[in-house]
Amino acid sequence: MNIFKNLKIWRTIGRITDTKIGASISDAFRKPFNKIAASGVSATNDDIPWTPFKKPLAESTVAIVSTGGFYLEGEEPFDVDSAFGEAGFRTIPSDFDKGKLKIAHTHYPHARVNNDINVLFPIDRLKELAQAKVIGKLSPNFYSFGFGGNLIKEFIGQPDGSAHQVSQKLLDDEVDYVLMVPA
Amino acid sequence: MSEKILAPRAAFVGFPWGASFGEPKNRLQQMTILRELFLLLQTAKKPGVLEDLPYKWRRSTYEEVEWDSFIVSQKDQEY
Repeated sequence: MNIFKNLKIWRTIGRITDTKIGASISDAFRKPFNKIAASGVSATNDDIPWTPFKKPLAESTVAIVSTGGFYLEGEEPFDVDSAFGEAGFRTIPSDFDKGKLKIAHTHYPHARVNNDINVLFPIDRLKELAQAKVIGKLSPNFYSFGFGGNLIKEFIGQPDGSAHQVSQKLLDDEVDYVLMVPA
Repeated sequence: MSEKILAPRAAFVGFPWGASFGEPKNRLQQMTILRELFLLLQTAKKPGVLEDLPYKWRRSTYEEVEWDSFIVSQKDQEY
């Protein structure tokens, strides 16, 4: 799989995806691409976690967990060269400077999110909802994963999979509800 | 993917990759999707709910979300 790293295959695909033609192909073939991606998922969830809705939204703390490959300038970008990406996560304080938010993810077109972060990471809308007292407040921290194809164990393996680490951080931040937004 | 993995509560919207909340600068659309998500959060009665949202890329129209009535409807919920 070093061929991916050596030839920087994902970076090339990312650059193509970010062209107008590439984005059009991505948009047009999203459904078959999704089917192909889903066909590789053998996991089935027979025991779906469930927490009933209890705390009123207007009193709740809300966070975003994204898979958009977001990180802040000065932090380590997600590894976009490995064949399977990486399973790590980055912490994004909810009062982040939008000018310092970067993306390291080569598997979706960036033009729309570069134009308006809210299409994928609806920070301004959530701030408006907190202001209007529809939700209580924003969590101090949001979290982002990047592309991590097939790294199931690294994501959800017990006890240290990165998903479990993020879960613990959300609990530490006393978050009530999480918007989990795939890219 | 969501059908296979089954999250506790999930909503599907047929928008392009990288634009889960819709078109850039379309505040009403973004708020509408958020409203759907927060509504699903409150109304889903069992784990594994996957709601297929009806919105079409560039073909649906959106109105200002009435959050006041949304908040009132929350009070009607049994906690």
